[in-house]
Amino acid sequence: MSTSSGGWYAILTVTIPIAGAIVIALLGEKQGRARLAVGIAAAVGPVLLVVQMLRLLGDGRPVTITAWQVGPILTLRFSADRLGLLFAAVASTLWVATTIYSHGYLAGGPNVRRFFSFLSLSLTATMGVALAGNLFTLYIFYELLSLVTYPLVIHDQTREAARSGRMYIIYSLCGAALVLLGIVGTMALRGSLEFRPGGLLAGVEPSGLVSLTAACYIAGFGVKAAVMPLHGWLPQAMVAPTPVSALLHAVAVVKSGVFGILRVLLFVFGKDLMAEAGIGAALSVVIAASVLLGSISALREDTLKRRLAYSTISQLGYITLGVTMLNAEAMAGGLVHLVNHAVMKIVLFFCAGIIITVTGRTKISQLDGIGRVMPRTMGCFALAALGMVGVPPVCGYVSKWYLLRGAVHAQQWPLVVVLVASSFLNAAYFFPIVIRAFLRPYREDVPGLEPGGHGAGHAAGGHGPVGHGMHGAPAHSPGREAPATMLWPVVLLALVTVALGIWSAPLGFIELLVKGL
Amino acid sequence: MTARLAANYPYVFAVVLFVIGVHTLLAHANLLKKIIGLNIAGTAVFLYFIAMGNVRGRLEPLVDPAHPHAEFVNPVPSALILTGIVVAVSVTAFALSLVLKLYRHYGTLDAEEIVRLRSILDEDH
Amino acid sequence: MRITDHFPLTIVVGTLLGAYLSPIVGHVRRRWLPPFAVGVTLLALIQAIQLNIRVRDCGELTYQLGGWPAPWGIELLVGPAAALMVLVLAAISTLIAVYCMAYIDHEVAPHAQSWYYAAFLLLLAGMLGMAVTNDLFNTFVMMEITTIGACALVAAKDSRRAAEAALRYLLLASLASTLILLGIGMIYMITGNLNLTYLTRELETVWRQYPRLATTSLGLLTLGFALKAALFPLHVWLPEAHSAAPTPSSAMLSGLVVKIYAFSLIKMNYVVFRPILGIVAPLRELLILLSAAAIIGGSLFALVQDDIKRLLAYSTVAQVGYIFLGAGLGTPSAVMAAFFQIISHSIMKTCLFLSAGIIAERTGRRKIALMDGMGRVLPLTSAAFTVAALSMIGLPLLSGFIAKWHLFLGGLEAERPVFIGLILMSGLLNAAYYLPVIWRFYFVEPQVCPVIHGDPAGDAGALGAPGSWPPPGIRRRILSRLEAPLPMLLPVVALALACIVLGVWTGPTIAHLAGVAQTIIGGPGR
Repeated sequence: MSTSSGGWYAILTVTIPIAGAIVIALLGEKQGRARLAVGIAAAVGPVLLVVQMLRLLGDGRPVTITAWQVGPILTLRFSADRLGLLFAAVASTLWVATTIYSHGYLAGGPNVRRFFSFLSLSLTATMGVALAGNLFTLYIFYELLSLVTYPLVIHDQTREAARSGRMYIIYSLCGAALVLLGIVGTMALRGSLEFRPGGLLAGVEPSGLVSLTAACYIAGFGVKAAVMPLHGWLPQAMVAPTPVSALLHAVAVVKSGVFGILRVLLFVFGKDLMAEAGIGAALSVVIAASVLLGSISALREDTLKRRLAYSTISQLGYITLGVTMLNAEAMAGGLVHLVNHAVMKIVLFFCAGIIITVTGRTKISQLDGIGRVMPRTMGCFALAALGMVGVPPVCGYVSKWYLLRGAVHAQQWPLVVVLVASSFLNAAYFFPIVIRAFLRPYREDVPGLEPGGHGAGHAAGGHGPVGHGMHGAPAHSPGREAPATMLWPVVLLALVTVALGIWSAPLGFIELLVKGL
Repeated sequence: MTARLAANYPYVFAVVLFVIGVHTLLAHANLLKKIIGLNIAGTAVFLYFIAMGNVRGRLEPLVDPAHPHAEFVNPVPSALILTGIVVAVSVTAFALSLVLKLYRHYGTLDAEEIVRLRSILDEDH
Repeated sequence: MRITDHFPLTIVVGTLLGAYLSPIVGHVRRRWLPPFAVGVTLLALIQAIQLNIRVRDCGELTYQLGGWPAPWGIELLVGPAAALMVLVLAAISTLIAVYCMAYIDHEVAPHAQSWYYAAFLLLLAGMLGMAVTNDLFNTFVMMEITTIGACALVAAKDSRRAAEAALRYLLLASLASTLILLGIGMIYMITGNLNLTYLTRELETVWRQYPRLATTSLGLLTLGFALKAALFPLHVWLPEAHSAAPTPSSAMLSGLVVKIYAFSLIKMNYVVFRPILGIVAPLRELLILLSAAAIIGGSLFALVQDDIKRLLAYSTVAQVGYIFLGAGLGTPSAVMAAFFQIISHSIMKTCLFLSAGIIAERTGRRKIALMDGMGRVLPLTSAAFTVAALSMIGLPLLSGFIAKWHLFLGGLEAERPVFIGLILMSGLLNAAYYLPVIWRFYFVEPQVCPVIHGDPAGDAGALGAPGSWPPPGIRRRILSRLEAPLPMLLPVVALALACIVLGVWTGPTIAHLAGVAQTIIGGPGR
C-alpha cells in the first residue's frame, strides 16, 4: 500500500510517451526527422526507466505508487513487480525498433503525424497495462489501448480499413465491458480491487460467482489475446500498416490481453482458487483448442500477414497454457514465450512489411524466389521462422522445452500432444514460405505485383505504401533491399532472437519471477 | 355501494369528467378538441378540489361577529383552484396561439393531416 | 439574520423579475438583452453557491414566505439535495446564457428575442422554485411556470416543426400537470396539509386509514413526473421537442428540465411519501422496469437517427433511464448514482447540444452523414463533443463512468446483478451511436469542405465596437483564429473540462452526494 521512493519512475514511464505524442502533434506534418527523434526519445525514456525500476527491484525496493485517488475504491495505482516489468521491458524495447521501422515504412504518406502521435499514446497504454497496480488502473489502460490503437488500425482510411476498424473497436469495447463486469464481480466477492501476490480472492469459497467472474475476465482479456472463438478481429486488423500489425498485433495489444489474463489469474484469483474452482483446467481446454485451430487456420491462409496473424493466435496460447498448468516449469515456459514470441513475431512481420514495401507482394504464392532478391530480409525471416518452430539456437526452443517439461511434470498428456502437434503445424506453415523464397526461381510477372493494386488488397491498404520509402526509386525493382531504417531494426531483432536462445540471464529473471508467485 | 356513490356524487362527476377529458385529449385528432379535452380534464380536477373542501351543512368561510363559533367549509381548496384556473387559462391561451400558428402553416387543425402534410413537405426539402 | 437567509426566496424571485424585465430591456436596447440575461443567471449562480456553502456549514435552511409560519404559509426548504439541484440549474443555465450571447441570432428572430429571454428566465425561475419549495401546491405552480417556459423555448424558433413539437409537448405536459394536481388533491384530502414536512408527519398516522388513496396519489404524482421527465414509453414528445427547438433551448430541456422532474419524483417517492415507502414497492418495481426499457429502447432509437440533434434527444431518453433506475433500486449507492447522473448528464448533454449548435451555426450541417472531417474544421468544438460523447459511453476517467460505476454498486447492493449487465450493454449501445459520429469527425476526409459562415477576418463588428480596447486589429488577430465566437466556445470547452474533472477528481463530489443520498433515503423523517 505504501508509496516507495521510486514511484515517480512508474508515473514517468506512463507519461513520457504522452508528452512525446503532444510534441509530435505540435510538430508539422513535414518535420519527419524531428518527429523520428521525438518518437525514439519517447520510447527510449520508458526503456531506461524500466531498467532503473528493475534495478530497484533487484535491490529489494519494488516501485509502487498511488498516483491519484479518483474516488473511493477507484485508485490509479502503479506497481512495478517482476511480471509487469517483464512485459514493460519487452514492449518498450520493441517500441524503439518499431518507431524507427515505421519511419521508413510510412515516409511520405498522409497522416504520418497522427500515426506517430497515436503510436506514442499506445505505448502509454501498454506501459499502463504492464505497470497497473490494481484492477481499475488495468481497466483504464486496457480501454485506452483500444481507443488509441484504433487510429493506427484504420490509418489508411480506406473502406476496408474502416470496416476492419469497426470490427476491431466492437470486439475491443465488448471485451473491455466484460472486464468491467469481472471487476464488478470482484467487488461483490471482496470489495477491493488491489492486486495481491497469491490472489486477492484467496480464501474465497469457489462458487458460481467466482467462475462467472473468472469467465468474464478471461473472455474480456481473451478478446484482445485473440483466444480462438474471440479472434475474429485479428486477421481483419491486418489491413493496418505493417508496423502496426507487427507491434500491436504481435506485441502490445495481443500481449496486453494475455498479460491481463495472467495478471488476473495470478494476482486476483491466485493459484489455489484457480485449482479449487477448476478455472485452470477449463481454460486449458479452450486454449489448447485455440493453439491447434489457430495453426490449422494458418495453414490455409495465403496472405502472408494473415498467416502470421493466425500463427499469433496459436502462439499466444502457449503463454496462457503455461499459467493454467499451474506448475513452475510450465509457468516459466509461458513467460519466456511472452518475450520470445514478441521478438520473433515482430521480425516476421517486419520482413513481411519490407516485402510489401519493396515489391508490393502480399501473398505467399507470390513469393517465389524472393529470398534471392532480398537475401537479408528473407534470411531474418527464415531465422525467426526456425525459432517459431522450435529449432535451436533461436529462442523459440527454450519456451517450448520448458512448457513440455511442465506438461510432463503435471502429467497432462493431452497437452503434451497438443504442444508437439502444434510444433509440427508451425513447421508446416512456416517452412513452405522459406522454401519457396529461397529454392524457387524469382518471377517478375507475378499477378498482383503492381504497386498499389495488390490483389485483394489485404495487407497494404489503399494508398499503397509502395515506394513511399524508396525516394523515387522504381517500386518493384528486383535486387534491392529495403531502406536502412527498415532493414536495420529487422536485422538487429533477428540477432536478438538468437541471443535470447543462448543467453540465459532473462531466464534467471523469469525463474525468480515464478518463484515469487 | 350505490348509496355511497350517490352521497359522493361530486367525486363521481369529477371522475367521469376526467375520463371524458383525457379521452378527448388523446383520441381526437382535432387540435381544438384536444385543447377542449385538456380543459375538461382540468375542470374535473377543479371540481374534485372544490368538492373536497365542501362540508355539507357548514357555512361559507366569512367571519361573522354574530356567530363567532360557526363552523366553515375549508376555504383552502377554493383558493388553490383560483390559482389552478389562472394556470389553466394561460396554458390554454398558449396552446391556442400555437394552434393558430400551425393553422397558418398547414391550413388544417387535424393532427393526422398535419403529420401527413409535414412528411410531404419534408420530402420536398 | 444573515443575508443568505433570504437566498431561497431571492434566487427564485430575482430570476422571475429578470424574466419580467427582459421584454422591457429588449424594448429599450436589444443589444443589452444577452448581457442582461447572463447577469440574471450569474446572480442566481452566486446565490446558489452561497446557499450551498450555507447548507454545508449550518444544515438545511428554511424560509417562511411573508413571515407566515408553516403549515399556514408557504415554506421554502433548502436541504443538501435541493442546494445541489439549485447549483446545477444555475451553473448550467449561466453557461447556456453565455452561449446565447453569440448564438441567439442564428435561430431566433430579432423581434422574438426579448420574449425568448423572458421564457428562458421564466423557465429557470420555475425550476429553481421547484427545487426549493417545501409546499405541494407551490410545487404545482412552479411546475406550470416551468412547463410554459419550456414550451415557449421550443416554440421560439419560427418553424412549423417547432410549433408542432411545442404544441405536442404542451398538451402532454399539461396532461401530466392535471394528473399531478389530482394526486395533490388526494393527498391533501387525507392529510389536510400542503406543507411537505407536515404532510409527511400526518401521513405517518393516516396512511393506514386510507392506504389506497395514499398509494393512488403517489402513483398519480409519479406518473405525472415520469411523463414530464420522458420516462420510456412516455417519451414520445421528447425527441421532436428537443430537436426542433433552438439549440440553447434543447440544451436547457435535455440538460435541466428533465432533471428537475426526475428530482421531484425522487423527492416525492422517498421523502414526502416515505411513510408508505413499504407498500409501494410495486410502483418502484415498475419504475425499474420502465427505466430498463428506457435505457435500451432510447439507445436503440438513437441508433437509427440521421439528425444529430434527434440522436442526442433519444440519448437523453436512455440516459434519464439511469436516473430512474438508480431511484428505483433505492440503495444508497444507487440513489447516489442517480444524483451523480443528474449532474453528469446535465453537463454532458448540454456540452453535446451546444457543440452540435456550433457545428450547425458555423457550417449549416445537422445530418450526421455530413459531419465528415469536422475535427479539422472545428477542432475545439469537435474535441469537446468527443469528450462528452466518450463520457456518455462511460469510459473511465470521465464523469459518465462514475455514474455507471455507482449504479453497478447499487445493483450489487440491491442484489440485482441483471441491471449491471443492462448498463454495460447500454454503454456498448451508446458507443454504437456516438462512435460513428466521432469517426466521421476525425477519420473521414470531407467530400466538400464545409463552409464556415461568417467572415472570420471581418468579425470585429460582432465582437465589439471599434475604438474599444484592445484595438480591433489585435482583437481580430486573436479572435479570428478561433473557430467560433468566444461566448459560444467558452461554455462548450468549460463543460467538456467539467466532464473530465468530475471523472478524475470525484472524491469530494462522491462524499457530498453520499450525504445527499443519505438524507434522501436514510435520514430523519423530512
